[in-house]
Amino acid sequence: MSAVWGAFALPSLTTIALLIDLVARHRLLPAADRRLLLYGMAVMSLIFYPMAIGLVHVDAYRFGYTPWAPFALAAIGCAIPPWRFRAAIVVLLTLVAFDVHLLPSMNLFDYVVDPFGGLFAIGWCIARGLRRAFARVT
Amino acid sequence: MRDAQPLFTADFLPTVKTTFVHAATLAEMPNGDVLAAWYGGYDEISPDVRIFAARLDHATGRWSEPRPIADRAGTARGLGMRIKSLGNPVLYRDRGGLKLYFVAVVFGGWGGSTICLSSSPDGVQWSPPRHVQASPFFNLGMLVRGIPWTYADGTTSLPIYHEMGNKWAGVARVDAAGRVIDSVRIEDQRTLIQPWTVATDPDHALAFLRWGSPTPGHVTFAASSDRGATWGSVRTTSLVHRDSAVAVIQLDDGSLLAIYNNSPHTRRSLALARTRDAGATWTQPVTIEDDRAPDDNVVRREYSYPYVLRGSDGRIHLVYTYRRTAIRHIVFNDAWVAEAVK
Repeated sequence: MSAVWGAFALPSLTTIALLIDLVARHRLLPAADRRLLLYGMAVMSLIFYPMAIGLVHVDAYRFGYTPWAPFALAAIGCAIPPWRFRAAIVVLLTLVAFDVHLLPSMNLFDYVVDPFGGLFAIGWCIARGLRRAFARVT
Repeated sequence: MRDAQPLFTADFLPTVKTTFVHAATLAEMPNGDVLAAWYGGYDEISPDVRIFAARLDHATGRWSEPRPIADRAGTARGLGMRIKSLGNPVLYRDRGGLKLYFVAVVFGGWGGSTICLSSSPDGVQWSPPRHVQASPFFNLGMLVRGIPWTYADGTTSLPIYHEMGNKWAGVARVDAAGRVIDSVRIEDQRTLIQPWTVATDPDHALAFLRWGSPTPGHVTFAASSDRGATWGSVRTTSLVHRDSAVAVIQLDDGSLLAIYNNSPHTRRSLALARTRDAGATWTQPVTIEDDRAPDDNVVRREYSYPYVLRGSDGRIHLVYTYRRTAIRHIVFNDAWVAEAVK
């Protein structure tokens, strides 16, 4: 798996779901569900990666090793509105993948977000924000 | 059978044909032999760096010829990625056999490093290296240096540190398959790296930290009372040093012996100091290397990166970098420390 991704980082289940959806020409995830996942990855990246490189003296990543982490993610999945059930299915698949140790990591966060997907999600959010702001101006 | 008489011997590890060696590590084999490993090449982070190993026959007291046990090409193949160079090795024998944790530099300097793991049944045949997933951010910036120890459940406490962005120290808990199952930072606002942990009893541990700043500082330490799950605030010892590694070992009487560079500016002095109150106060340092020769731009006059291991016979093996061209090996025992470091 790591060789496929490029060895620098493992693909998170969220990124895998978005890539499969891309290959399927967006027939798997409605646009709103896709946006929800990208927003989620962007937010998590902005929280976790500054902590990971020590810019913030808090280590939230450690929570991903605890037995509470899957419950927290399950709660997030349950909070997704029923009409966004496909995004909730991605969360469910993430929990299943973590349970069967699909990736080498034992930290749940590595199943939820990865640097490539996270950086793409941040870029996508910025681009979307700029587009909307530009559209308002014009 | 432990020696009752003071023992202190010094020799060098066998040389290899490299202009530079550094960061030796030790592990004891099941028969009592001691395996040493270090990295060597043209210089730090040069592409020809390899990790070498030599074995000390406990019966004859002779070292075997060094042989490479990891190199850039093999590591690149194992990891499936380009590798720039190799760095600090850490040997450790756990219940599953012999492990070699080591640093692979992916790009740039030490900040672009990742931790690798090879295993071996005998110290001769080594498995292809694989990643130790220790950081969520491209798994980069992570390094090893300090000695691991084993928890009661068989998992390993692996001291780690981070050099990408801000520097910090921590301890990873690694399972038998080499997967990190927990990781805790030793939080401090200062630049403290290269933790060296000592389990003083089944519940308590101390972590001694390298002052990672270019300005003079002190050896610092933190304590854990829950088997390393959490670490208290970092305290400062009276041991002066600057940006150099420290190693610590517990003696038979429960006191701790630190080996460190006793200088606010250089690594020319290597000293021993002892604490009987878990790091609060220390004896006067006893110097084992003190080089006052003038700089000559040829010899790198440093005696650094101590690594210490107690053998099953009670003897304490100390290795350290000697002028960056050799690895010094010293053997001593508790009786010698009792006389020399009061």
